[in-house]
Amino acid sequence: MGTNLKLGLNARKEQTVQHKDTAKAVGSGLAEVFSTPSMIALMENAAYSAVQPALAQGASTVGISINAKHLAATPMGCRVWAVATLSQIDGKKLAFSIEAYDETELIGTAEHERFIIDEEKFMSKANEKAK
Amino acid sequence: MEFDLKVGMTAKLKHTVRQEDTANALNASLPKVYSTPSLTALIELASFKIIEPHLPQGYSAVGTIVNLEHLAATPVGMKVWAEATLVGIDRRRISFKVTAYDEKEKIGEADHDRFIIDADKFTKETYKKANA
Repeated sequence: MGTNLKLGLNARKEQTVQHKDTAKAVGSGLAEVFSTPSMIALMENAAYSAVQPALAQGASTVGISINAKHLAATPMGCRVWAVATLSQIDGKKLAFSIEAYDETELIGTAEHERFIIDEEKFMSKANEKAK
Repeated sequence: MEFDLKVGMTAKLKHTVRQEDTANALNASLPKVYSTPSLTALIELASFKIIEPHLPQGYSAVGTIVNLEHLAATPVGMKVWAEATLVGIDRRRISFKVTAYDEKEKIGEADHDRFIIDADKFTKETYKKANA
């Protein structure tokens, strides 16, 4: 279980803002700018990527909390990236500090927690709910 | 600018979880359950639904803070909904408390802030970045 996890593990995820990533496309407003849900997805992906290589086969992580500030708006066509750093390990609960940038400035900060799961066990439990 | 908004206003937004709303759709290594970014979008939209009818033409609102706990996993095909309540108004900064459920249980709780914008002015200002 998470034998290679170390504080300071980090990863960076980058993308170009496309129409489907805007608040207008997500429906959360009229503005054709990078949406908060899209920024959170990018942040989660960076956090996930920071620790996934250190986990045992069959293990994964799921997001359990995020406290994000979206500080600045980013237009379509701009590059955005998030850098996530593992800041705390509490059993299966992992905490990350994340910063997101566009080509001009810092656009967001977040504290984020993920929980280590056994994928198969997690999925069979989740699917039982549908029955 | 005055907006006809009051603390205590509420809205509810429903959705059925599709494959494209799962964490798996964002990253093939992640499980096929309702993703936190999708839950964030539902929470933002439920909050926006409260204020949208009260905004003058051309005005919108953008999310500035989301403080969310995602408490339980939801499989594809299940209904989810968010219930948002307006809890604070500070000029153009509007605060919400939101609770989300699936057919079985409470799945999320959030504090959320949105900022009311003049959409054209905001978009024009933002696109200056692209031309910098």
